[in-house]
Amino acid sequence: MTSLVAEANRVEDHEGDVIVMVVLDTSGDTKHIWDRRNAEEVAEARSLFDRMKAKGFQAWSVTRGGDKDKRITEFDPQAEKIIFAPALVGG
Amino acid sequence: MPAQYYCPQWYGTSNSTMTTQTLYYPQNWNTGTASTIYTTGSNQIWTRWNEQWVQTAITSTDMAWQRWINQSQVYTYQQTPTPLTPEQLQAQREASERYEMQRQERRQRQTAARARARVLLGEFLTDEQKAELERQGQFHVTGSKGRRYCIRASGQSGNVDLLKADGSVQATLCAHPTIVPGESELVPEADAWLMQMIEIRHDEDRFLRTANVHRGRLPVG
Repeated sequence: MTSLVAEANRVEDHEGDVIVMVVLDTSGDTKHIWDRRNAEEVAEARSLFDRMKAKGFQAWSVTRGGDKDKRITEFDPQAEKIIFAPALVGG
Repeated sequence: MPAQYYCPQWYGTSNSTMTTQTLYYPQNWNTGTASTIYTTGSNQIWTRWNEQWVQTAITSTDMAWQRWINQSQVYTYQQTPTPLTPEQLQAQREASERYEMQRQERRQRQTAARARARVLLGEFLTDEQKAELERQGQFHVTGSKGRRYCIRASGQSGNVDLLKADGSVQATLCAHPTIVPGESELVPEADAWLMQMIEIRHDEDRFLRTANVHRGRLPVG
């Protein structure tokens, strides 16, 4: 996975077995890309997922159309795209 | 406390360790009860004088005058500038330059982050929402329970309107991403709008429970 970690905004270029994890942060966002067919990469993605959850981020499995959005608490290797974001708070 | 207060017009002092400071004649001072104080607000010694006058039991004009002198001397002494050495001046300049450089770097990072966030948001908006955002600086979202919302692209606090059926504003709401753990700043605004949209369209009830109502009120039920 490490070799595939990317920050570029090229989400739309990836289809099929390439999955994107987007972490919203003060830099805008950081994208991590992995291949769900590669067990080693999936394991690294799962590790990242757990680390982000431990830091207090919320995870969303999302699609462009929004019809399959769902909040997830466990890593889903079948997710199309996962967004990590700080929880919303009332302001 | 007497109803009539004595007020020195000015006091100055000068010796080897203190600089002269001329005090301003106060334009107003207390002539009523002890709880009513008027100050010019521009002279700190005068402010301290008033504080002391109220907080300290001063029973004679001599004591009042002595208090005034003491306060003035202490304050003047603390104000005495200490000349900086060349090394200190150089260190001060370098610190100032470092601060300015960091400020510029932070501004560049923020500009880049805003641009990236805007691109990411664009990946999730429909063409209609993009057009709305472009033309009107806002876009509409339908919540998971069918209510309509307008997310205004203006800040990330109090920028969400819950709409009535006729399109008018039912309530203005505020729910934004908290500060990123380990960071000291909020995420860029477009990221906040994206998260507001996702939460509304997926879990509207939770969004309404989280949000504070800035204006209007939530519908019953």
